[in-house]
Amino acid sequence: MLLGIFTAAWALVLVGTVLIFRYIVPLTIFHSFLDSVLKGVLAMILVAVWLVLFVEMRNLMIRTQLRLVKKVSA
Amino acid sequence: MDYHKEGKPPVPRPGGPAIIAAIFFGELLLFAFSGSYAVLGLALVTLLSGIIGIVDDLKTLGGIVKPALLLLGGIPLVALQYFFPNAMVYDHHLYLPLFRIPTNIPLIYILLIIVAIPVVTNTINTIDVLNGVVTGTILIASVPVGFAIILRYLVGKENPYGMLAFSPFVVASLAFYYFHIYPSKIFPGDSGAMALGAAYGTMAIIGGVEVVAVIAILPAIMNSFFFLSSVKRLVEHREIKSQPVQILSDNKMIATGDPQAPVTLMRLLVGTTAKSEKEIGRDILKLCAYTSFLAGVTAILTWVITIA
Repeated sequence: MLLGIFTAAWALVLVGTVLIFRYIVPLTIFHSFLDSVLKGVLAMILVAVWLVLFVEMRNLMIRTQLRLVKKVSA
Repeated sequence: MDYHKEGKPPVPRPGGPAIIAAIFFGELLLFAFSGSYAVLGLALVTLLSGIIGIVDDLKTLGGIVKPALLLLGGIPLVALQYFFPNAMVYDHHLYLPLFRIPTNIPLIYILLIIVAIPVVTNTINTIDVLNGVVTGTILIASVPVGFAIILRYLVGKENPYGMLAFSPFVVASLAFYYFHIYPSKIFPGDSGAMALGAAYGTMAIIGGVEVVAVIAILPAIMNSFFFLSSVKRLVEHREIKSQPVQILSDNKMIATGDPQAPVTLMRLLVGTTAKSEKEIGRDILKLCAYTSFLAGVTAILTWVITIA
């Protein structure tokens, strides 16, 4: 289970890094300070989504463990 | 005191000053021969973060004060690059997996250095939970980082001093690991763990292998993340009243049922079965070996197999 979580974390780190530094950071649409605002907002949305995914993975791990403990004690 | 062993035997700490001195003077000697300011930067960052660690060992710093002070850690790198712009202390071109052409981020990279050094330093400090774990983690994670630096050098994107700077850091970690391995004869303390973390983070920056270095220490990052996301604030671990694991009469450890206790990597490892300190330490290092393998794959995807 933990190996699966770490593999998923690896994939998320890779995809997230590429999305932020390859696509969001060089983004130029308005040619003004609005570009910086847009980059900041997009990066923050991405980070927030990624954090939610990490929390869900952690919760999944805990739920699985609780189920296993119940099964063992039953 | 070693709380996880029968009779709680006293163990000397902190061994941090020895680690700091070994890395600092080793890198300083290398700087004297090479004249590489990147090497000098590694020495200074280690010294500065190590001194903050010593203060933390002597007088426990709070959960906010410590990371705030550690923000100073990255200053030597930025200052050296500013005063010696031709010295190539670091490369602000970020190499990403699968992409041949790097992303140029001169200003954001400065911000990344200032934030990355304290984050890595603190992250490595939080994995110092059992005998030999922090030094073992650093040593295992150093393998893909060293591999990535060599790959970068082979494709002509790295100066040889990046590789040379690696040696005093690895030798110091290896020497300390000999005494820190289960059962520990000495503990590194906050100063030792923070010096190792700062040196590792700096190595990743001056070697230009940032993404690989992050993936190699995923177990430490996830441990920090699990902890912070469960306590929901920056807090010193000593301030936590509810313990994540309990020690049984046979000295094995198992997760507590306390819902207030923080979620940590160790708690997840003993969630269903009680394990000894040696077994948990081995499991953490196995996870680190796995993420180091993934980091090695990332290095190949960054400098060997690229599609664009």
